Amino acid sequence: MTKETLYNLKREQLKLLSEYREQLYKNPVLKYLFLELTLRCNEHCLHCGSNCGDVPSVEMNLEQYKNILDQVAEDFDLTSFLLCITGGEPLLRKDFFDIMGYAASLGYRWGMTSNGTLITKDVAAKLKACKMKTISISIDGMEESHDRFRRTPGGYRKAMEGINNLIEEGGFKNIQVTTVINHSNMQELDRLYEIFCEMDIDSWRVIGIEPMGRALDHPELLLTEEDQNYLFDFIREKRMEDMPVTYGCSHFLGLKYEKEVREAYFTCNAGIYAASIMSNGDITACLDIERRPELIQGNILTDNFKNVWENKFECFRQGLDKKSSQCSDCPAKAFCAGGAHHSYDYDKNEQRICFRDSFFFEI
Amino acid sequence: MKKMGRKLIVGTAMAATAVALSACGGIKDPNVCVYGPPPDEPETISIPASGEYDPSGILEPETIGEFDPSTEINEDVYGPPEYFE
Repeated sequence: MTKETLYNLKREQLKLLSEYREQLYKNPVLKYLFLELTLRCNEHCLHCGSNCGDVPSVEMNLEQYKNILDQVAEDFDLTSFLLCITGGEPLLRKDFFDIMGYAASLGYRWGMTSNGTLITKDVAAKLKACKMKTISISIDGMEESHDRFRRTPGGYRKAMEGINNLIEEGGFKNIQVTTVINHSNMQELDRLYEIFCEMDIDSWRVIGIEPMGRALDHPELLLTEEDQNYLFDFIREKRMEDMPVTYGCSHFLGLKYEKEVREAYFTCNAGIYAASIMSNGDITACLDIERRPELIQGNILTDNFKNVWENKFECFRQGLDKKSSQCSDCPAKAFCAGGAHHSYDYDKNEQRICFRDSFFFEI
Repeated sequence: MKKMGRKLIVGTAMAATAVALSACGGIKDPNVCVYGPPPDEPETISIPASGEYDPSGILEPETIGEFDPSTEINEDVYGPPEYFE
């Protein structure tokens, strides 16, 4: 078997995926429902996609969340999707366990993202009692880098303590660490890998810094082509050793790295698999997508979520390649569909991240 | 971290890659969206409403090629394509 044979296999599968995606545009399937409980955070990360701390956090109250959870439970099979709790830092909410205890009582499967700094032993026990299944905790470098990047003295130690409290509590299906790699902490990948190999976590997700939110103000942190290539080679090498290191879901990587650095081929889930309810009740696709009025599909306080899911989201149920002249002559557009919504520049109608012209991109 | 525990039973790493590619179906995404939590259950191949999606044809022998025992490939290794010509 040759490299070209393997690439032909991938092309066949990507073609099938593109056909399947066209069907998903017409018949979307809810698999992930995000609830953004707050935009407050006890950290102030340089790369925060939600600008937490710099924008007001308009929040719904406990009764409103119970109504939302009741409504969705009535209209959807709760075994068919994962409720994803995020923020800001969700654990800042004093009523967090009231909300999630109620969700658990209704039968929701749920997971969350957290900076881990508030996960004491007691909190870990409560998370298990509320039937949390999975969690991703952010560690964005070795101690000095992490604390500097997240602008939180002592944040690394508290986050690691939080991870260890979860591990000791036990009973969770997946404890994952997520690391955002930027140009300044690339050289820490190997050392971080050694540290995480010694911990009883289930997986390590490594994401390149994305040009969104506050990261747009720090272009010096963005990854170069060489950085991206190094990152992909690093992840692939670990996966060849059967270690659960994975790239994030974003961006079409070309034939060399698609299916090599993560389990799945690239598909942007926004609006076809994933929907989100912001802290103020606005309904959108993915919380990392730029918050523009035209991308808001409704508000949960006035609209029925199922109606919105089934009848709105038109802008997400077509490929971005249809909008962008950048894609018109691209040989990869059928596979890529114009890329991820969260990295799309809606003012310029072009992708902020596209690997088409990168030296490692093959099609 | 625990190993992923892949067990690929075919003889060459390239064929193992083909099996891995086919078995996953290309649809599942174990990492949700960019900053979401990991999934709690193994993903299954999503079949579209029409039932037409079927990658199994990709595993026809003429596509994969014959097993070559002289390569002494570790059955559990998912090797990069450029190792094999």
